[in-house]
Amino acid sequence: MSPRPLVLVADDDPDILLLMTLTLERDGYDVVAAKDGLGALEAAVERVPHLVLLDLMMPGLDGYEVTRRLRVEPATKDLPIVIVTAAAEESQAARALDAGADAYMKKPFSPRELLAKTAALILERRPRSRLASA
Amino acid sequence: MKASSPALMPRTERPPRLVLRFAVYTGCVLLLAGLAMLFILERDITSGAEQRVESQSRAVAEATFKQHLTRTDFVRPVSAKRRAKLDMVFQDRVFLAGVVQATLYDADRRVTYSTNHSLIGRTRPSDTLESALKGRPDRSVRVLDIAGERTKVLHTTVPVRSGSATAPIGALSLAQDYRTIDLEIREAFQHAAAILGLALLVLWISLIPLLRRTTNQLRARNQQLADQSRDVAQLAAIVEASDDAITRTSSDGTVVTWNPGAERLFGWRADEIVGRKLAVVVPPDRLDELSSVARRIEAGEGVEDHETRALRKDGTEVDVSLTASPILDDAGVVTGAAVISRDITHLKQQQAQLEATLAKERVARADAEGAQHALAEQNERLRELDRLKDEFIALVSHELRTPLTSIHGYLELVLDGGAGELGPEQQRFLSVVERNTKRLMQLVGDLLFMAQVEAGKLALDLEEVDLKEVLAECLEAAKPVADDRQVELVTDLAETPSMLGDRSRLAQVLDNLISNALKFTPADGRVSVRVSRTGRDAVVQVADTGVGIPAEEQDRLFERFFRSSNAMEQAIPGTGLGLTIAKTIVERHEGSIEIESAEGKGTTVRVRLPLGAAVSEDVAA
Repeated sequence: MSPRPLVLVADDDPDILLLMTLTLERDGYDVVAAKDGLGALEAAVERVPHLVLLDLMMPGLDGYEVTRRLRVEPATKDLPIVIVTAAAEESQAARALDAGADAYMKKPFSPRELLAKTAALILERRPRSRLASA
Repeated sequence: MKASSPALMPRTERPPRLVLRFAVYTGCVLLLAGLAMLFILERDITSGAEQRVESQSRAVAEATFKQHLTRTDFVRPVSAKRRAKLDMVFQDRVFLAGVVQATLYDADRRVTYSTNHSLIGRTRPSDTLESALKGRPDRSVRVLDIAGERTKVLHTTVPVRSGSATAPIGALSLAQDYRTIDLEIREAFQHAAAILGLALLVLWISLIPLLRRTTNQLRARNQQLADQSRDVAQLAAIVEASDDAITRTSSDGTVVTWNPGAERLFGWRADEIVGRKLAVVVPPDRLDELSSVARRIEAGEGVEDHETRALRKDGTEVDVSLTASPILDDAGVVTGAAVISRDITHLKQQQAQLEATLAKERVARADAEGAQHALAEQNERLRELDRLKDEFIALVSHELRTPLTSIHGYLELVLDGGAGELGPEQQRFLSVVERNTKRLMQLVGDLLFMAQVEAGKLALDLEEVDLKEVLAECLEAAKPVADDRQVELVTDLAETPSMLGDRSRLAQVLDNLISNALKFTPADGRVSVRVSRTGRDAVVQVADTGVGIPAEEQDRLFERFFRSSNAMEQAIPGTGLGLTIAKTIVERHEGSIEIESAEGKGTTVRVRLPLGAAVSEDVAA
């Protein structure tokens, strides 16, 4: 297992995708970037990450759908998933949690907020996975 | 006031006397019937007793004849020797049965032998003897002189035949003392009378409940009749007293009754008009109306509240409301009409006035409606504009978020040295960019919040919130700004129980209030923040020593986009949404917000939040 945690990031806005990638890499994560929902699904199956950051509004498969499918796959069903949304309504965030996401983050977010949330979720899962492998 | 008629007086009740009278009547009738029956019975008993005696006599006669009498005893008066023998026979055998005298006759009505020897040889014709000689036994009641005593006897005469000869050869007559019969009759009669009396008594007694029932029915019927006559009297009194003209006509339209109301309305006295046609009070141009009413009456239909005009005796006309109903006899044939007329002159005047008023009102209402319509249209346009604005705000906010995320994110990355070390100049300039980016983000956030509220989509994410903790975080964030502006930040945070609320929204309120206070307080001023508990509420108070708000503007502080003149003049940045948002959030927490301000002295904002369920939990703990 790589010492650096792997984070999968999916967003259809290339600027934001790059921003998230840069921010996470600077803080010591390995990052796989996907520019849409289907790409995110393929990447997650190919190499199971420690965390997934999903934009909600993406062409093709949206954040909800990707979350649902990841939750069905045995390899990815326990993955921590964060939904990132620019949606105006609070109800969308609630829907994201209903769909199986662990947390959500509203746009605009600051890079510091992103790192804090990522670290918290990965730390929360680590001991559990260690238990599972033991 | 007229004296009430006797029919209206309460009737005195006399039921016992009525029952008594009936009892006496029936008693008398029964008694008479009983007497009549006794009379008949007595005759029956008498004749029965006599018959019995008679047949007794006949039996004796036959027995005596067969054994002791001979044919010769009926041919001529017997010899002295025979007489003595016969005396013995009759003494021995016959007199035992109460017979006081026995006589034998020959066919010539001559006495051949008698216990009364003086009769022997005499001829004593009588009806009973004639009858006996014709072969029919007969009897009669006579008074005989027996041994010098007048005695009432039953005299029975039976024919005496010899062998099989059909014609009697003579007759045997026996006189029986009537006293024995009388005794028998009296006994029988007494029995019969006792039985009959008892039967009649029982009958009479059993008749009493029947009588009672009948009298009750009679009484009820009497009462009913009395009530009816009272009703009739009352109706008559009502008709008499009525202001309406109440009249009755026969089927040909002749006036039959005419009440005082009619006298007043039409001017005709009853004695003048009864017997004349009702057409007298109808104006000539309305006679066809009368005949159409008459046709309806004939058809058994009525006319109700028919408005027309009537002709008074003095020739003037009056507005009346007419109600006419047919009067039917028991067979359902129309025999006349009841006509009620009411003076509606006053009503007509009122109606005319009312109509005039209504007409005026209609015009006024039409004007008002026109104005209202215009207003409604304008309102509708305004609502549409409002809706477009809300949509626009939501869209713009959303579209602004994505680029803002990039700008802010990359800026932070650069400032954190993500693109190499920055020179002091670069650092300073980019800080300005960052500060303004944050303002822009604040503005977008506020606009978005209002858009959500407008769309009814503001949802609270409720959790247990420690108000003091939230406030401490807000103060922590405000501290650098306060220091920067050289404003003293004083805090007095009492412990309050945790409350149920949306933590981030409450933080938004407190941030807003504190940043407002700081914004409007000049250097060397003071902002004090207090949390206290009052009853079931937590009270957060943010007071400043700032510029204050002009009194005339204080009412508008919570309006969307409203900015005070002080804020505008001093170019203090803001969107005019902060307080609107704060009020909305506080009210969604069932709390209240109020502002006190004095221009030049400062402003105090007080937020009251109910601790609600958390209080009881606190008490329980």
